[in-house]
Amino acid sequence: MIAIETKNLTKSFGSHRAVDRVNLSIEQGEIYGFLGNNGAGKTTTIKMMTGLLTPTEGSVRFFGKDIRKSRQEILKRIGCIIEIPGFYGNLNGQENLEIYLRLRGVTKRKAIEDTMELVGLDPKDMGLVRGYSLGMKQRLGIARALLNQPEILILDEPTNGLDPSGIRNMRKLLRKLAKEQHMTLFLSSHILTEVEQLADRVGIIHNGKLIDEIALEGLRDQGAEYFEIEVDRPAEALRLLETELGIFDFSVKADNRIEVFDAQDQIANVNKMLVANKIEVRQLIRKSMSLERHFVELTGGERRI
Amino acid sequence: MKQLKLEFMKLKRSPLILLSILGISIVPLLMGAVMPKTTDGLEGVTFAGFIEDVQMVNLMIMGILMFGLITSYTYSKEFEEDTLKSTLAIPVRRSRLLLDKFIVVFAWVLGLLLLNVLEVVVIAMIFGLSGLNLSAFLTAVGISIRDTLIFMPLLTPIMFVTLLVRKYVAGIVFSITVVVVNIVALSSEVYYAYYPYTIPLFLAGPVPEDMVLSIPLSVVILGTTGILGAVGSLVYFQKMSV
Repeated sequence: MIAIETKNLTKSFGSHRAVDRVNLSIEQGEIYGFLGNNGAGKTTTIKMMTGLLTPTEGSVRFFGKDIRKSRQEILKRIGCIIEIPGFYGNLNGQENLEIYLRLRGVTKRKAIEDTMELVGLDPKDMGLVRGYSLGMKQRLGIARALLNQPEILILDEPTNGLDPSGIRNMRKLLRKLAKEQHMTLFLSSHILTEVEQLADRVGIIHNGKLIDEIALEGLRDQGAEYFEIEVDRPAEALRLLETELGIFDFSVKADNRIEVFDAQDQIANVNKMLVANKIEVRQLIRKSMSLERHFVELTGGERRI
Repeated sequence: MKQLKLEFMKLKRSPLILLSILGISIVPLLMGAVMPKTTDGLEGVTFAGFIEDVQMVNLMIMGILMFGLITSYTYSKEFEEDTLKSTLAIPVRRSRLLLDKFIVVFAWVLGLLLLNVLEVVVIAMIFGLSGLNLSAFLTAVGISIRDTLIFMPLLTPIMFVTLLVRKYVAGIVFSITVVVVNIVALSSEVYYAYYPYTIPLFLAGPVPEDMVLSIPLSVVILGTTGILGAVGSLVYFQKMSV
């Protein structure tokens, strides 16, 4: 069953198209990574998905229902964090969650303790939220999003402000939620490794356009797809690769490095041939076609991620 | 009702509660402090007269400043604390949110005006002012409720400005401007009956005989101001991108 679907979702601010005809289709129980540089259109997309922004064009559907027509009904089944979560600084964590619990009409007060413990916050901590670190606010934000045991969890940069162990725990928690509760996760991030380690499928958004969708399982299966050699005379090495071994699919990098594609079975031959031709081989590394490489290629080499 | 309770809960430990109490208390305290030093002393000062003076100052200056600040704070809090995104991403009706906050403002304003009455009672007892009895006290309470009701329509434009600018300082600037215009309007014997923010003074005070016919028009202007502010806020808030 399709949990989230967007059709030609577009948002323009004046003449600027922040989101441009984005089509998404996310299955129930799937972990979908929404990857893009800062300003690519991730948050705008999420805001339209949750009804906070009205799309200029297109539609958003959850469980087959349009968010504009069935907003109240849909929002009951969703939990979300958008950007850095805001809280009432004059209240403590429990009191903040109580407000959202009651607004959602959930009467089970134990849900507050349960979700706080789940995200690694002490429910007995009576400290006011204004004294919380960014990481603690992020955890509290996730606790808030989980209060109603949502079927879909939409998280915008969920590891913002978390320390490395916090990130690890968060990853574990999100995996658990997807696996045990069959929760659909829509995870937006500009951090490649975060998405790579969690998502089943990744959508890459760039300048407001969804430029690619990749099933990460497939990408991982491709394994070592190319190798990199570092030599003293790259121009000579390239000529030899073409004339001696008939290898034409390569790219020249900085620092005398050459990336060679579709020639995994020739690694030993390449090494032997270069050495025989008195080319100094300083390094020869087998590499996998990672999401990072794919992303950089698609977004035109922007390595801000 | 549950949602309304939550709006009150959001104000827990809010420093503005204490500040507003201190702020509104200044009027009767200052007037009480200077009372014995006036040329006539306490002679001829009654409880009813004293509370009328306090309420007039509230209607003209202190009230609009304090109630403007309260309105602005209540509505801007969600923007300042960045909680609106989370609140509106759950099944909450925007119109309900606006209304509940307005009820909070109403209760807050009424509470402060009633506190003023209690303070005047204490001051009247200290100075032994004449005319302090249950009937006068109940009249003063009634006037506080009336003043609150008169004031509420005037707070909707402040609500609108706050939603528009998303900062509580907008409401403060608006209130200060209103007070300045109030002073100018009051210098005119005619216009103060038609300028929305001096209408409460016109309606609450002794209306000159030649202006009795202006009362219905003043009420219409007051109501129209309130409706315009409320409708503007509602329409804007419903369509507002967060």
